[in-house]
Amino acid sequence: MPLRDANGLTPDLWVRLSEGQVAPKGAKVILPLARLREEGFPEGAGAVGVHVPNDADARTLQEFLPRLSLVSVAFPSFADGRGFSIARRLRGFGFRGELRAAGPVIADQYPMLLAVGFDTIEIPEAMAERQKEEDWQEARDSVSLTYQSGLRRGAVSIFEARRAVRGESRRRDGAAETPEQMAARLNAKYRGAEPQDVLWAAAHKEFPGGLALVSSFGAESAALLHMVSQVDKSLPVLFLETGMLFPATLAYQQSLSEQLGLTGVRLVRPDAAEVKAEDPEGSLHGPDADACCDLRKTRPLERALAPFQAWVTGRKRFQTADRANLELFEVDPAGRIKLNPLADWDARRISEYMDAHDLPRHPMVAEGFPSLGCAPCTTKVRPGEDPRAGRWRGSDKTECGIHIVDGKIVRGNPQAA
Amino acid sequence: MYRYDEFDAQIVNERVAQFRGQVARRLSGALKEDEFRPLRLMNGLYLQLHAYMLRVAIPYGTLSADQMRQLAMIAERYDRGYGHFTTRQNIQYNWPKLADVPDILQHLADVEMHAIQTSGNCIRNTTSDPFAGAAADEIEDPRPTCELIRQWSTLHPEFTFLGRKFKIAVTGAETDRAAIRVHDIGIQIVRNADGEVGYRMFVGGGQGRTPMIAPVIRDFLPRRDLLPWLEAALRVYNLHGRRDNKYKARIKILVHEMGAEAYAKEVEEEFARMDREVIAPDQEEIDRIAAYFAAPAWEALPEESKRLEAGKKADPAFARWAETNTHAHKAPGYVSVVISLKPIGGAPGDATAEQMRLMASAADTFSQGELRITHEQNVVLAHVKKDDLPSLYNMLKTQGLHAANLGLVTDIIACPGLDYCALATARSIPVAQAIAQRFADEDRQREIGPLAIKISGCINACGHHHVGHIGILGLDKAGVESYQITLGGAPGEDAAIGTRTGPGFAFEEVPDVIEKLVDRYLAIREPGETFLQTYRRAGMPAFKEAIYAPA
Repeated sequence: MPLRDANGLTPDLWVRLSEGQVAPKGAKVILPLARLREEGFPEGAGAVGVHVPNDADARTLQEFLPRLSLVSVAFPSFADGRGFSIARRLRGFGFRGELRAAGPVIADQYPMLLAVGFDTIEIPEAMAERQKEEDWQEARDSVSLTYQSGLRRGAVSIFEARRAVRGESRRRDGAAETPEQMAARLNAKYRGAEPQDVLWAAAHKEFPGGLALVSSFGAESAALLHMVSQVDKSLPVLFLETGMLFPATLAYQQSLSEQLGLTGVRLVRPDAAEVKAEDPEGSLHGPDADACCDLRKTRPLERALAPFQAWVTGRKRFQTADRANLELFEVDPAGRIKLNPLADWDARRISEYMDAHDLPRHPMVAEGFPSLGCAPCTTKVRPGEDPRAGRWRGSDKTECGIHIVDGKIVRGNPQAA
Repeated sequence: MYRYDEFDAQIVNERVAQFRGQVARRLSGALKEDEFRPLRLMNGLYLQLHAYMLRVAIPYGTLSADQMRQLAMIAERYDRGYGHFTTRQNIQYNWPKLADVPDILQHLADVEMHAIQTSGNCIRNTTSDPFAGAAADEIEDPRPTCELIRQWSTLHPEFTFLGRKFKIAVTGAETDRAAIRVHDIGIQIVRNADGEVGYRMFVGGGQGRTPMIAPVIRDFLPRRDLLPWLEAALRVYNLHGRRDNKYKARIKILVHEMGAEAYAKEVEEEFARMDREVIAPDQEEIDRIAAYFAAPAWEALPEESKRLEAGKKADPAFARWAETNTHAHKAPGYVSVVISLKPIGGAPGDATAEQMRLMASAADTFSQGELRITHEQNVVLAHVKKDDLPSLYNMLKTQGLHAANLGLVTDIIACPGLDYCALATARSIPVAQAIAQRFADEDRQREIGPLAIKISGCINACGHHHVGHIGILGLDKAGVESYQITLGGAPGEDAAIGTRTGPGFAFEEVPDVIEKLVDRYLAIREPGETFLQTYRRAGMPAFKEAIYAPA
């Protein structure tokens, strides 16, 4: 039966065992709950999932959860919404495997199913035929905000967004915590953890609904984008489309987003009125690169980040001397938490990760561009040079202004006051 | 009152855009009616007997003068020049064209209104005390709590496909003017022994086919825990509520069948398991919302108003209105005014576009630019200076909005009934009109005193007949309308479900029957007794005899 995830149709790698059927060796199998209870976990299966009716008490599943890779919840009809609450309970129990909604649900329920914690939706053939692909996508993309907190999906929680606008950090355990204290606490908590685990925790535990990734879709971006696609395909990904990028970057952004199934990519563009007023000719980068970065990167990003409580960047310590002291969690000038999950990865490790996951390189890397920015201010790097030496060559500028170094703002940020 | 911020506005605008697409698909034939149905219901659009009906949410019944003017514009441009205010403090338009509905929703969004979740098996518009923020007896204005619930419940992904619809009401006073005990969840704002303000939670009340008074499930809930606790209460219902029979699917049946204690235990367990810190809004958010409802600066006025007293002396009709249609205000020299939408012979709750505009102007001139819709289908101007009552009265008179019958026998609640509603089994509005006509004499109404007649045109009880002092339920008996009478119902803190008198009556008999009941009450009442008090003292037999004894 057709299966879709947050991105769209996807192949079903699981086998539903019929009554008495022996689990094929190494296969991923889904058993009815009754059989799991009677016979326990089958031998030889590669991974085990269970299918539960929607009147099952999720609490009785708890003992099985640590060994289950998938839970499939029955939806006998689209109008029977018990499965939504079962999903929230299972996620509440800490279940991190695949959660599947199985039954004749309708396209309009897609965003709700994803929000309560379902990863995949399996609908009957007949139902799938009547519901067009664009209906599903339209439904999924129709809601970009939610009033609820603690949900799992890319839509922004309004309560979180207001908190972020107020410049406050989430308070936990009833105690007020400054952003700096929070960053310190999170650094202590996650130091040494794998980037994927930090990302998962940030997206689902620490900042649910309040996290975004900022990506340049540059030379090394694919690794982090791939990790995000594993954690939450609908996580908002902010891409600064300055209007001055290489055509190859734009093409790479589209093909890579599609390949990874990222559904939360938002193009962040400079304000048209500001461009008209400050750089009508598109030549500001020549006399004043800082002003151009401010117009095309810093201010648009600041606006785009306003609803978020925390953001993820792909910065690494090895990249420049300035970044040598990069922490995992930092605080930006607006009081938001900034997460650098790849802080201690080096070029080799990233390269290996990209090979291991068969990720495509930015086409210009092979042409001698290890770091990519806007076309007018990016040049090739010669062997032996710092990889970012090609950025703003001929000036002492090393950052565009959207990042701070050592707790200091590298360039003035008009909204940071 | 609350104003949208950029996020509130965006979420409503996105919804309008989405529905526009869905309507286009329906009109082009890409969507069949049965597929379109759940989508339109999520946006408050019903298919009724003669046409589509659009129900617009008026959150906890509060709206601004500008919003009222927009409702008037919609009535004029897209309907037949009037709208119907409902017992859920909402407004319904009975004649919109499907193709126009997206535009109507956009006009609503422009003034920070919507029709989201005014139907369907989801959490409906939260209702409240129409005198919120003005009543002398309240612990706290309940509207910030209502607004918090409005936001949390809007498009809640877990609770959009419940077993049945779900209604929440909040009161901030001991005197219950929001009928919280006959709601799925009723919330009373209370102060505990330490002086801390929190909530008493009633769960499992309701009217409809199986009326029930809600038991207290949590005696004191700290303010900050409200949303997590509601989430737990709804989750237990969503998981365990009956789905086999739509007539047994409301939470009242679950609480009744499980028992209040067992239900409470499940909720508390669920509540204890939740990550409450994540679900609850922080204090700053609670304060942010509350700030919108801060009391206006009251003028220092004497309690007595010379102008009011002079006006009363000059015009007995005004004096009657000023006595009947006002409610005590917390600030000296102010009152809350109730504009009756129950003129003799009118349809209860209906208002024309001109009347809506006049009420908006009256609000601007006399009551801080704000209005309330009551669940008795009237309109409240909450903050009026006593000095201004004569001017206000004269203004209302120009549009026939000066009926002096609040709480009296002609202030009848009635659902739309068979004249509009696809579910109705009998007419309601004509019954209300006939009774009002019978008791049109103003002196007689005053002689009878407080008496709430409530009429529903079917078992679903939209006209709240179960909690009417006299309830009237219109049924279909083999193709003929038959009206069952109940006595002794009450919606407030002394909530009671009315008791049936016996066999039903024909449509044309109803005014006679009501008159006999009233005459019996007048004959046997003790000095100072209201109808309800006499009924509670004398019991059913005295009244039963009056209407069934052979003449």
